[in-house]
Amino acid sequence: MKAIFSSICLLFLVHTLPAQDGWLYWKYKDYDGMALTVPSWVVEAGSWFLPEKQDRKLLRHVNKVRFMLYENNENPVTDRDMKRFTRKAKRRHLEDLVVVREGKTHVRVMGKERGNVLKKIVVLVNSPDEFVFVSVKGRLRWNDINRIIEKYDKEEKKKNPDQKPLVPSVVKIPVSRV
Amino acid sequence: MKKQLFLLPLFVLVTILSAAAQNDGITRFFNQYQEDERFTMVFVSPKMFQMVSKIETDDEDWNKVREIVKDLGGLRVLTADSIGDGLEMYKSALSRVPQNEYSELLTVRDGKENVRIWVKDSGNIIEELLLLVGSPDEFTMLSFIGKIDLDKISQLSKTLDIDGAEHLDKVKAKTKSKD
Repeated sequence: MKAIFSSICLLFLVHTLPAQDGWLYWKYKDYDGMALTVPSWVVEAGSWFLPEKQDRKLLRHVNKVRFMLYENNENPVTDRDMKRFTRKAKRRHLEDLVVVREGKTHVRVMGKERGNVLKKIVVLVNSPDEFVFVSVKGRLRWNDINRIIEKYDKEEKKKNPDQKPLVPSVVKIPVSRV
Repeated sequence: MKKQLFLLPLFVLVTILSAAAQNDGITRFFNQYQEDERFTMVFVSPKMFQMVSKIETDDEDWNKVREIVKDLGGLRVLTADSIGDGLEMYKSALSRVPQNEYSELLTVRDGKENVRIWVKDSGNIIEELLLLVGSPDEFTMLSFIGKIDLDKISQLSKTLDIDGAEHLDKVKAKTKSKD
């Protein structure tokens, strides 16, 4: 019985280990750069200081934020690890949303959605002299996101009535010539 | 009869493989140059279009964009604005377009610049729009996949403020001249 239980535990462990996409963060967080994890309780505490109810509501749906930055010609992340990350992320249903490569700079935005809830967003910028990793985990509902966009859209319109329509910048193709 | 039954799956397999091979020509071209540093590569996934279409605002212009974007299944762009062999690249890409699958929508040659737009349709629905631009120092290949309304696509390029997508406006002009 004990053996069966141990095998099940081992199987569970083996199954969940490759699923963790935070390994990239744990592997490189101590290199010379900036790395921080913002746990959910800090995010919630931060939300108390927001004046708007909608902003507070959206922020409270964020569980964890991970951020990593290396610049000034110091990118310790290997190509092999980037490939490994992409492979594992896809296994965890983290889908590519936008992929851009310009010169040696790779930009990748990945997201995981279940139902009408955005569960995770990962942004990666990787070039020989710079690396940025942002991972936002939570339960962001499209209704909440819509309300925020609408609110800021109205505010922008009040300020600049002749401004072009608000389009999420990620849709804009960041190349000078298409 | 038995022999015919044996040949049927073989025929189906060959048909599927040849169709895939035709489609692969363009995909292979994208794959071949997507890591080439002379080019800028952009890929917007169907999921992204799906997600963006869920954003609702009161903005009329945005709602127009939503209408177009919700039916799109992906966008791939391969572009280079300072290469020496733009025309050779253009010719090479041109030879990979399966002529029996795509119908040519328009061809423009303005000085040394060549623009060609193809569409792939099934019935009344356009499933893919392929744009090729080639000049001695410039090359662009753009592919929209999904349910495409030609009128709306040109509108999208304006609303999203994509530099250089003026070539898509030619599609609108073409559809109007057809009417």
